[in-house]
Amino acid sequence: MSSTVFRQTLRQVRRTLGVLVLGVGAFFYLVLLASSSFTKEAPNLPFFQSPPKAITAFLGGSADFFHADGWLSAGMTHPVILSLLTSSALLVAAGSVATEVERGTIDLVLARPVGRVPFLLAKALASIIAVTAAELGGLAGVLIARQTIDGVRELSIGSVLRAFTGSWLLFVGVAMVGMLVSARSSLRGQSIGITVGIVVAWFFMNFIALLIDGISGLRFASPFHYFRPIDLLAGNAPAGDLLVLAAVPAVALLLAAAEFTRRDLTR
Amino acid sequence: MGMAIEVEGLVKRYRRKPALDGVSLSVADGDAFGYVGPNGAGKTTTIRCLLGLVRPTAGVIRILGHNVATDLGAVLADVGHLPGEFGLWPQLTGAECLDYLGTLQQRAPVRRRELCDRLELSQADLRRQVRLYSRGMKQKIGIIQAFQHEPRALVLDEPTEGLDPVMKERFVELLAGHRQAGGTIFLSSHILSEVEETTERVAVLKAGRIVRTGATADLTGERVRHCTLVLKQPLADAAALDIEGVSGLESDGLIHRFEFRGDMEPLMRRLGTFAVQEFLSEPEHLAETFFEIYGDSDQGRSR
Repeated sequence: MSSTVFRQTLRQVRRTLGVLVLGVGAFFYLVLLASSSFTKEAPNLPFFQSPPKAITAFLGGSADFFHADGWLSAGMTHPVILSLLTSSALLVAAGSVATEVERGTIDLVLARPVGRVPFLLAKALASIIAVTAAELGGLAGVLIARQTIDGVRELSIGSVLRAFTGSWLLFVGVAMVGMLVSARSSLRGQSIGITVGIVVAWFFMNFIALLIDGISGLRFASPFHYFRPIDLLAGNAPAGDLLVLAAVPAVALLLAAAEFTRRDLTR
Repeated sequence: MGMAIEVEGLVKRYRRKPALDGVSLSVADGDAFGYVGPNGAGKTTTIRCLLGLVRPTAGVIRILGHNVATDLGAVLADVGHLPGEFGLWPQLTGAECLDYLGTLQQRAPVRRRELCDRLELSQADLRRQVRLYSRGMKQKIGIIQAFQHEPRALVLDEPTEGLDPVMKERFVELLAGHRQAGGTIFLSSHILSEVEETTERVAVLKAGRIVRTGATADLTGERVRHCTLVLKQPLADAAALDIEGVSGLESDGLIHRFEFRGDMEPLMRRLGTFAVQEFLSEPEHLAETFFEIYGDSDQGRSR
């Protein structure tokens, strides 16, 4: 891995990443703040006792509005947090190769004794650092909420760590898929667009499969199926789910390296 | 003398469309080699193949004794490259761009200060973000990053784009200095006078094939000279200018215009027998040969 490329890459995104970290942290804090007010005065309505299938499907298969872990689980699959974490995943990854090709800097870098694989690994590590920072921001928001908000203290640190580990694996996967798309592309916008399209397709594939019984088997094709925060928080998630989540980035990175080493670097 | 750059049977196809079709060339250690051709002829593709940025479909490339396909790192460690179209990192300063590229080169940028002085890039300029740079200033950064680590071989693609005439002159001096230090130059340019001025050998590329290779001087020797002869007295014999190599003779009283190709010595001996007031012989420039090769000599002469 090229440590120079790694440092330079992180340096270029540090401000944007800082904003994303704060955003993720603030979001989780606000979700748990909202949960405390809701759980105290929870209306005894059938809608909340047994939410419609569409709501539970949209929230990844579970909708528990009466406990902090239910709110945290819903927060982890909320479109806002998915957008923030996808942004952190793609901040480096989607532009890792495509931006450098589009901007015309790749010629200056790779006409030096850097090597394509060390270059790509540096970008991959920087992407993983970006996802890690965003997840740590979220974790910090949860831990601060746990210390400062009544009703959130019931969350155990171990279960929160498990849930964030699952989220981290999912978004490292998104980042590495972004690397793969970028390794094939010469346009940053195209690379981001395709990767966002893939993430949205994964999300809706899981959502629709949970909603319609006839196509429920489709959910196995979506990484979102293997990330069920409510199960991770409860300690019920199968180890196989985490293995699948871990396999996605590993396979994507290998494919990205294979693609990048054999492609022609032309605009 | 060893070969700094050897290319044998280089073929590059994009899908089925050939970009390079059997290019072979060699550049001796310490030589300056010009590479000319119109847009789309394959000049930049050749350079990208030399530097491992594009994978050849077939052919072998050796630079400084290393095979590019198998030992690219060793090649790139001793090469300085200025791409034809390049970008810089807009949020970095000029100095930071040079630091970054210098660190990646893994060799000390021993010439940076001297190059900045010669190209009149001040410390204040270097502290500014490159997004604020003009085209010419970016080009100066490009030149400095290629030269700063004293590479043995320079691979330059349109190196004077955006430079003013003074800076172009300085750049030519830099090339001369590199040659004096024993370095090799591979220069692709559409500015043919620049190639003529700075290289000893030249290859002309057309549709992915080299159609002419030779010493720049030889190509000049093959070329037509446009001659104007002004006499003090009319010629006694109209056939007096019937000399081997003379063609297209146009006479207007005491003024005779013609084209001459070949050895000048017999012509000069004959002219010595006339009462000559003035004799002008203007050699064609590389541009005209270039356009001749492309079947557009009229356009060449008009430039």
